[in-house]
Amino acid sequence: MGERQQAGKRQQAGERQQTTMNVDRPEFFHQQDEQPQDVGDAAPTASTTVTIANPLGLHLRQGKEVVRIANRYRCQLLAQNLTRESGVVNAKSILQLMQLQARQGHTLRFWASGPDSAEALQALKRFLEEPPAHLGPTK
Amino acid sequence: MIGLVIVSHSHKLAQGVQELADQMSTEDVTIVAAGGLMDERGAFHIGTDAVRIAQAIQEAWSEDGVLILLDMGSAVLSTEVALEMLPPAMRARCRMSNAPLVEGAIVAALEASLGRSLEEVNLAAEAASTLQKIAQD
Repeated sequence: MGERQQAGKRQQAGERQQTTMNVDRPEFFHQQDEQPQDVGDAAPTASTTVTIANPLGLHLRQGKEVVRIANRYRCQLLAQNLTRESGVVNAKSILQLMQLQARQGHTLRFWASGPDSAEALQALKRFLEEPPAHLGPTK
Repeated sequence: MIGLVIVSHSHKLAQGVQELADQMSTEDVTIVAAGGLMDERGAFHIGTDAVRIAQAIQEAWSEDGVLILLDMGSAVLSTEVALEMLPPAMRARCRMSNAPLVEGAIVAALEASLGRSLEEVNLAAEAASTLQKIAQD
């Protein structure tokens, strides 16, 4: 797929996200996150995109680490598989993260809202782009 | 950290689920398998054993509580009997989960290792019962 096509698809996915997803709706979030959190404005405040490098895709054990990292931060974290044009899921839930079914080469977008958004996004991007050896391409 | 007990009619299945759950968790979460029915020669058959389940709960015991994941049918009945064998104070901090066994154990092990409460872990595990595994492309 060409660069332009991909960009078009991403834009489409972005548009779809705007029209079908309302992240302000409390029921949109996973139940476990209904506990009170100081997240400030409900609207996403920052986002980043990550391309999955691992030949096995975002597999269960790697997903576990993503959830572990995401839970270190107070901000709300959402994720979408732009390549599959998936729904937007809660990145702090392993069940929802696995629903992205992210394969090698897929582009994910993460959104964060809350006090430590920038740090959370940076940590997720770093982990997914440079996973530790035991979770990397050879396994 | 809460403890987890895996109850299945099959000894091998319970062990396998425990192995998978351990992968999702950390060392400070105790996960104990209580599968199958042992005969007098020590061989396992398909079935559930209330005494083994009660022992597993005691092994997995934590003041924060124990979540019990089970397959179905007499796994539920045997676990009820096992809970009746325990001191009331211990029984009060045990929950039988309605979660599907495999997916529930994966989620519960991870959530428990994040330090969540018994109720929070159970809620997250039970959410697995409505999981759509296949992406709707």
